[in-house]
Amino acid sequence: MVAAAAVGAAFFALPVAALAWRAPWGSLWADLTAPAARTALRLSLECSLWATALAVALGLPLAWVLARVPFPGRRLVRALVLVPLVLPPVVGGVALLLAFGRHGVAGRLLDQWFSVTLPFTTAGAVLAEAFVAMPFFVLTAEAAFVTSDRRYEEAARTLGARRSAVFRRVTVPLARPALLAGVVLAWARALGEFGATITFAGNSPGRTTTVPLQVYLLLESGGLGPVVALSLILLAVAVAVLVLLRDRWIGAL
Amino acid sequence: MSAGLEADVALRLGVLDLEVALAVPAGETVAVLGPNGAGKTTLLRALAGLVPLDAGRVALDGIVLEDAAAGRRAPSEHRPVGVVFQDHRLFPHLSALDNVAFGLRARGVGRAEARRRAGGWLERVGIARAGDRPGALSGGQAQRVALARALATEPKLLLLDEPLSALDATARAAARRDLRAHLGEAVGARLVVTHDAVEAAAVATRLVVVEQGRVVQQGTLAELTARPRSRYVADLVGVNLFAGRAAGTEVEVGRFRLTVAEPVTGEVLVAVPPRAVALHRRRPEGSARNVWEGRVDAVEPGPAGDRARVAVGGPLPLVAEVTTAAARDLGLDGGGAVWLSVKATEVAVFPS
Repeated sequence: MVAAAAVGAAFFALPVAALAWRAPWGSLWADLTAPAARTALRLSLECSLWATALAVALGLPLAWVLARVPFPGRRLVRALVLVPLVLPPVVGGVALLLAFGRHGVAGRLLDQWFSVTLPFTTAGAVLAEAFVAMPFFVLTAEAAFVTSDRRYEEAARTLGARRSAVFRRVTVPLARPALLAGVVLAWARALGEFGATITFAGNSPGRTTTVPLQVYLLLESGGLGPVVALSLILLAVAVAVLVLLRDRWIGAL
Repeated sequence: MSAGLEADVALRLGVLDLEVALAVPAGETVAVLGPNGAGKTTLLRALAGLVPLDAGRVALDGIVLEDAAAGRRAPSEHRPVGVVFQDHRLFPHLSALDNVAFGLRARGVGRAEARRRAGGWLERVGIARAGDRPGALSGGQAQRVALARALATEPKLLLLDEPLSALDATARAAARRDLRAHLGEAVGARLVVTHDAVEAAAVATRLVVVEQGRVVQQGTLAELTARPRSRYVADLVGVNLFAGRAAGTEVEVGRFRLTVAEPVTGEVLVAVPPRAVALHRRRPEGSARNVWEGRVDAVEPGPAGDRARVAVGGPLPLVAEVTTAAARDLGLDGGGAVWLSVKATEVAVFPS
């Protein structure tokens, strides 16, 4: 049993160790500051932050309604939120194309009315990342709103605060630690997003080639050093998120 | 149209069936007393608009806040009502100052002005460290901040739910005195929910006793003490209460016969004030009409400290109150048989 467990642990540990072992520590700085790498890093940062902002803007009211307002079909909506979590990202990208592509259901209207085209643009990459990242935020926020202490909201109402003021000045500040955890999780997921992005937004350097897409490009062209360097960056972010949220997760387990 | 609260509250919530009519003139404090589960807190929540009425009406200074028959109901945030919750409910993420300023801000007062006024209220209730978060406050301080927060919006009706119950006994005496003074500053009607008669008498002029969702008695403490209408009220004011059947000046309580001064007939309630019961180790000589033998069950210090409350078993189990000196001289701590005497004129009798 112990031996089997050791094999299991090694299965996780070995690839991570291999990444660190094969890292071109000598040329790391040069690899990361190469123009293509820098462009990808900047684009990744921008896209993931915008995607997180979008996920929070759309997800916060959704999470609140799911947590607090009973309505018919609430279970269905909750299941819908989970879809991007279990859906293969490539399928998510295809779905986005069918919805927001030039000939898509909503995309056509966007194109006709506002001359806005989303596929194969940076905005498209943001949309794809937000699509896969949003469940992480909605689920954490919903859990926070379900378990939050309603007594304070009652007190706020007796002090004359309207619903919106109660939400802004009491509900959200009290749920802040959980909401921040949700933001970090969503951001980490957005940063690593690959499948939906490449399907919906393509892989064009400077516009939609984020770090994961750049890693894929470099792998095909054969330069292993830069691949490992960029991979290490993503690994470092993942580890940082893990450390940041460890108390929440370990506490929950 | 009159200034103050006029409420007629009827609602069902779980096992509770509440039906209470209540009037509190502006400038007056009324205490609602009752055992746990009587519906006191629910009554308060209904007045604050946190629980809807099934039937009835709530009006404040002649303005209807809720009228179940007409389907009218002002939400909590639109009622000029302030609440001090039992658990205080100070916002943990705001300083004491911002807690007090919250209601003013919600009513559209600018930040600087709201803080200035909040500072004034904190000063009035004696809180110096306005920047502290609620977590850093003692129970007594938190209670005063909660009071200041409710007073700051100058509500026409102030509701207090067991305001002092979270405090320990030593802090409570001082807090009671302060609360009485601060309530005097509130211009509107005040309603205090409590299960402590001393607290009620300290802050309120009139007491309303609620049991199982109904008002069983209301009046001043003196009125309640003179004629308690239920076992709970009698326990509350510390009076021995018995139900019996009267014929002339004799009242039968179970198999015991109690002599009273005024002749009555029929079903009656008999109230024996603990201080009217004299205790002796030997059969007493004297004019007392009621003399019998019992046994000491327990001796406890009385609320004031200089008197002891003695539970006496026997044919008519009751509580006697004697000076601690007398309790010592009689050696009551050792228990044993004891003679009791009560003058007929000290026994209050009234139809039940």
